[in-house]
Formats: sequence, C-alpha cells, structure tokens
Amino acid sequence: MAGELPADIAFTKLRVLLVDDNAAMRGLVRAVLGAFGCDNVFEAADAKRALSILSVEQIDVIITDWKMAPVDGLALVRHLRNPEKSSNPFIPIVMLTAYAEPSRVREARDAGVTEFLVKPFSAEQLYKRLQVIVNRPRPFVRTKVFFGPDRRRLNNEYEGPERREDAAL
Amino acid sequence: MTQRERPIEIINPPNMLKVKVGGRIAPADPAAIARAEAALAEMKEEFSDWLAEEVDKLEAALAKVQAQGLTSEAGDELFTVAHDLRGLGATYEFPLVTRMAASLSRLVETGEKRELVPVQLVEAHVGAIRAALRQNIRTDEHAVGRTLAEELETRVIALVGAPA
Repeated sequence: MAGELPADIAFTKLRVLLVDDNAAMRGLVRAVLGAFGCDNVFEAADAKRALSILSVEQIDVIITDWKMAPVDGLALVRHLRNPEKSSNPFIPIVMLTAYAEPSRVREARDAGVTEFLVKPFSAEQLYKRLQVIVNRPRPFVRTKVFFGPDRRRLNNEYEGPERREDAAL
Repeated sequence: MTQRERPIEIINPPNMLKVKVGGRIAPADPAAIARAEAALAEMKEEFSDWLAEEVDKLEAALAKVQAQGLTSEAGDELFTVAHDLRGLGATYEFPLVTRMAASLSRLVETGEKRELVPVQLVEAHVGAIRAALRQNIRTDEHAVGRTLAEELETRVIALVGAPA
C-alpha cells in the first residue's frame, strides 16, 4: 500500500539490543535483522552487559532470551519496566525464548514483555512482531502491582491487511 | 484485570518509533522475508557443525550430571543446554532434535523435578539426540525417530505430568 515503508527503508533506522547467552542464536537473529535492513544491532550475552549497553546507547527495541544466568531475561524485563530504576520503562521488549508453554507466556506478559516469540523462530514471525511494535504500540497500564504494555492484546499479535481500523494513525 | 489491580491508569506514550523510522511499516514484506531466508540459507553449510557443537555441550553437561548428580548445579547447566537445543534444533534443520530437547527440558526444568528424575531417562534423551544426528534423522516423519520421541515424551509425562 502507498505510504507504507518496506523493511529495508524502515529498519535501517532501528537500533536493536539483542540479549542471549547463546552466541549461535545471537548470530541467527542478527542475520535475519540484517536482511531486514537493520544493521544497528548491539549484542549482550547477559543482563548485566545489556544494562551497560542501555546506559550508553540509544536503543529502540530489545530482543531478549529468558533463560540466562546469573540474571534471567524475566528479571531483566521487570527491571526495565520499573519506572524508578529504568531510564526508559516504555521500551518495546520482545521475549525470544524456547519456553512455549502458555503458563510461561502469561508469566512473561505479567512481567511486562511487549511481544513473545518462541524459538525456533522464523524470519516472518520476527518481522510481524517488529512491525506491530512500530505500527501499533500497546497502550501502557499502571496499577498498584503492574506497569507495562496492556496485557489484553497479547494474543492479537498480527496486524495484517485485514485489520486497518488504525490506518489513519 | 483483577479487582486488586484497580485503580488502573492507561498511558498512551507518543509513538516516537514510528516517527523515527519515517512512517508505517508494511504489515507484510515478502521481499524482506525472502532476503532473511536467503541469509539463513547461506549459513546452512555450518548448521551441522553448529548443531554438533550444541550436542557436544549437552553430552558434557550430562557427564557432569553423572559425576555430581542431577540435584547439583550441573542439573541446571544441563537444563540450560537442553533448552538452547530446543530453540536451535529446527533452525538447524533438525526439528526432531527440537522435539526431543523439549522433552528433556521439561524433564529437568526445575530443582523439584530434578529430585524425582532418574538419570537414566536423561541419558536416554541425550543418546536419542546424538543418534538422530549420527543417523541424520531430522524429522518425526521418520518412523524410528517418531517412535523414539513419543516413547521419551510418554515417560516424561508419566514422571512430571503434561505441559502446563
């Protein structure tokens, strides 16, 4: 559709932080992002290094693994969503993990992830998560016990041509 | 949303990301997907070596478990490697390895489970994954691979229950 940007134009400006303790997985995600047009990819093998990168680099999207040591990805998400500790509690976070059980998805949602993607992932799935983050970000919700993206939209992850009610946004 | 979570404040931050990238991204971009798939295909030659490295790590973790027990720190290390393998197997064109590693991950996922689990069942998973590689059995369309995966999964469910 006219006015919509192809990936190789839009993604050149995105700065992505990739957090995964498995170097091979980081390599695969980087290759896919590069093919989309995104070359500004920062890598961290653990949460501590991720926070150190975030303190000096302007990052637009975080893609993080869950199972890492000594601090796991879920704790990283909770830290980043804490407005008292985080410099950008609204930053979009994609949880990319081999955990696939619905209970895990709920746990990640309750920690404040923006999108959830199960490994092994496909390029198309990653593209969909990134485009929905840019095109139709979730509102944020603050309650006594939660701060993060509105959890009611978590399963509605794909915004294809059939969903155009927000085309004017 | 539970009652105890009220009051609820809804915040709509300005969409600075959309401004930064220059507008709305195409909801689907087949050319970008094709480029990404081609990039992965270029790495294909390396996949069998990389998968073998992950399975080597799994066997090393198993050896540590055999020496120190599943309830030691080695048990968690084994879970980490199995969990990584679950996430990588299919990308490396061995969906059967992802399936068997998923079963192993469920078996040793928590400290509580590791207290119940016989090491022999862990060994059976690691042996099956190695055999799949050695015999180039990539999917559960292969009768032997399917039977093996089903047998492992059945034994895991009998011990630790079905996935939540």
